[in-house]
Amino acid sequence: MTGVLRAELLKLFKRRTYWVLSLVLALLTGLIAFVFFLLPRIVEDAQPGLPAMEKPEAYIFGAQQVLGQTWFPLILAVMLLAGELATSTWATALTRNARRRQHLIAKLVLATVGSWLAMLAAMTGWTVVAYFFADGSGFLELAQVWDVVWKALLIMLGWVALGLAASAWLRSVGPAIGAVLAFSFGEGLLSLWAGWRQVSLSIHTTALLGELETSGLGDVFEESPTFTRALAVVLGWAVVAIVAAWAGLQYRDP
Amino acid sequence: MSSAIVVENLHKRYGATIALDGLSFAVPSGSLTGFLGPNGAGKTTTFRALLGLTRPDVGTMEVLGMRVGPHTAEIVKRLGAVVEEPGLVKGLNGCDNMRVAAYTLGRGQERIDELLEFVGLIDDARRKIEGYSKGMRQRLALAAALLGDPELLFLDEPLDGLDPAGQAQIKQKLRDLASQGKTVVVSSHNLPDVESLADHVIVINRGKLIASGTLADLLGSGHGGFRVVVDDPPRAAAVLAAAGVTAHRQADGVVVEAEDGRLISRTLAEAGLFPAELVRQGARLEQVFLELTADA
Repeated sequence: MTGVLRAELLKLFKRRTYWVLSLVLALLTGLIAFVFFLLPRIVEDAQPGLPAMEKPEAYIFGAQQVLGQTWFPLILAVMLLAGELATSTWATALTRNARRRQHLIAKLVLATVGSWLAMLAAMTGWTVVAYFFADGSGFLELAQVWDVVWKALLIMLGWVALGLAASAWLRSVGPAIGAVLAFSFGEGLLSLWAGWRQVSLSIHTTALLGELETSGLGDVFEESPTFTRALAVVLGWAVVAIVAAWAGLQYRDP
Repeated sequence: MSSAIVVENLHKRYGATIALDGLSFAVPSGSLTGFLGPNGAGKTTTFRALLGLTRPDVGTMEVLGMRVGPHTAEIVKRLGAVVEEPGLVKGLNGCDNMRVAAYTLGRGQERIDELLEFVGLIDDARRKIEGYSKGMRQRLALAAALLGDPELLFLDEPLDGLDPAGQAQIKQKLRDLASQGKTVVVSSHNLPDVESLADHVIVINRGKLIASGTLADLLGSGHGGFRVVVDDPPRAAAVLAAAGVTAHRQADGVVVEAEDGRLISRTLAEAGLFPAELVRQGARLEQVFLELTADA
C-alpha cells in the first residue's frame, strides 16, 4: 500500500494538472476577496445587497467560499482516476502487485489531501487579505482554526469520493467532469426543495463550518442543520460515493 | 516440458459479439511464444483474461501453476506485461514513469538505471514522455515490465514502431530473457517478426485455436516445394507435369510442389534440361498463417 501511495504522490505533484488547478483556485479566491474587500474601497456602492464583511466572521465566510469551490476536488479526482481508466495506464497498473481496492484508496487519499492542501493555501491567502482589509477586529480562536482545518479535510473527502465514483462508472475524463460539475450545480439547485435539503451535500458542507447566515444563505433557509446532522450527511455521501467507486471499478472493467 | 500457461475452453462474449469461443491452448515454460491472429481474433481479450483484467464467461486458466481468478494477486507478482498500449503516465519523464512502476510493484529503484540502459533510454530518462517516439515508449514500457524480474512476460506488439536497429535490439533482449528460462509471450501482427523471434506459435481466429506448436512444426505443415531455375521454364513445366509433378511457371524458372528434389532433377535431366539452381522453399509463416486463417 505504501508503494501505491508513493506512486500516486509522484503522479499528483510532479504533473502540471494539480498546479494549474491550484492556480485557478488562487485566482478565483483572489477575485472573491477583491469583490468583497477591495472593490468597495475603489467604487462606491459596488456591492449592494451583499453582506458587510467584518472580522472575525470574515474569516469563516472566506473558508466557506473557498471550500465551496467544489470543482477543485471533483476535477482533481476525475483527472487522477478517469485519466487512467481512459487509457491503458489503469490496466497496466493492475498487472503489477496492487489491486483495484488499493489503487482506489491511494487515489482517494492523495486527491483528498492534495485538495485539502490547496484549499488551506487559498484560505490562508483569504485570511491575510481579510486581516488587512475587513472591518472590525478580532481573530478566530485556535479551536476555531482547528475546526476549519479538519472539517475542510472531511469536506474534500466527500467531493473527491464523488469524483472517483463518477470516474469509475463513466471511465472517461470529459463525461466524468461534465457529470460531476452538473451534479454539483444541480444538487445545489435542488436544495431549494425541502426534501432534498435534508440530504444536500452542499448545504451540509456549508453548515459544517458555521451557521448558514454567515454564508449568506440564512435568508433562503429557515434553519441551519445541526453540526451532528451536517457531519453525518457529509460522511454519508463520502461512504456512498466510495462504495459506488469501488463497485464501478469492480464491475465496469470490461 | 511443463506449461507456463494452460487455457481450457475459454468463452467470452461482449453483448452479441463472441470474443472467445472455447479457446484452449498451452504455452511451454521457457518458450518464446508468438500469439497470432487476425484483427478481432481474440488475442487482446485472451491477454486481458490471463492477466485478470477481464472475467471469462466460461473456462479455466492456469498461469505459472496457479488458477487465474482465485490467485490473480499472486500471479501478477511473478509476471510483467505490456497491454495494448505502453500504459505510461503522461506528464512524467521516463525515469519517473519507472519510479511509478517500481513503487506500484513494491520494488526499490535500484534496477531503474540498469533497465533504462538495457532498452537504450538512459540518455532520454529525464525527458517527458510526450517527447518520446512510439518506439521509445515501447522500450520504456518493456523496461517497466521487466522491473520485477518476472518469470513470465506478456507483450502486446512489442516491436511496433521500432526502427530496424531497435527491433533487432529488442529481439535479442527477448531471446536473452527466454534463454534465462523466462517465458515470453508476444502478440504481433508482424509475422516476419514472430518468425524470426518465436520458437513456439499459437494461432487463433474468431476466438478459437487454429494451430499450436513449435515454429518448425507449423512451417512444416506448409507446402514449400522447390524453386527451379532453368533456361526454358515453359518446357520444364510441361515435362514435370507429364511426369505427374505439379509445377508453376515463373519468369526465370518454375516452382515445383514435390518433396524429393532428386525426382525433379532426374526428370528434367532426362528431358535435356539441366537446372541452374534447385532451392528448397521453406514455407513462410505469413503463407501458413494466411492458409490457416483463410476462412476468416
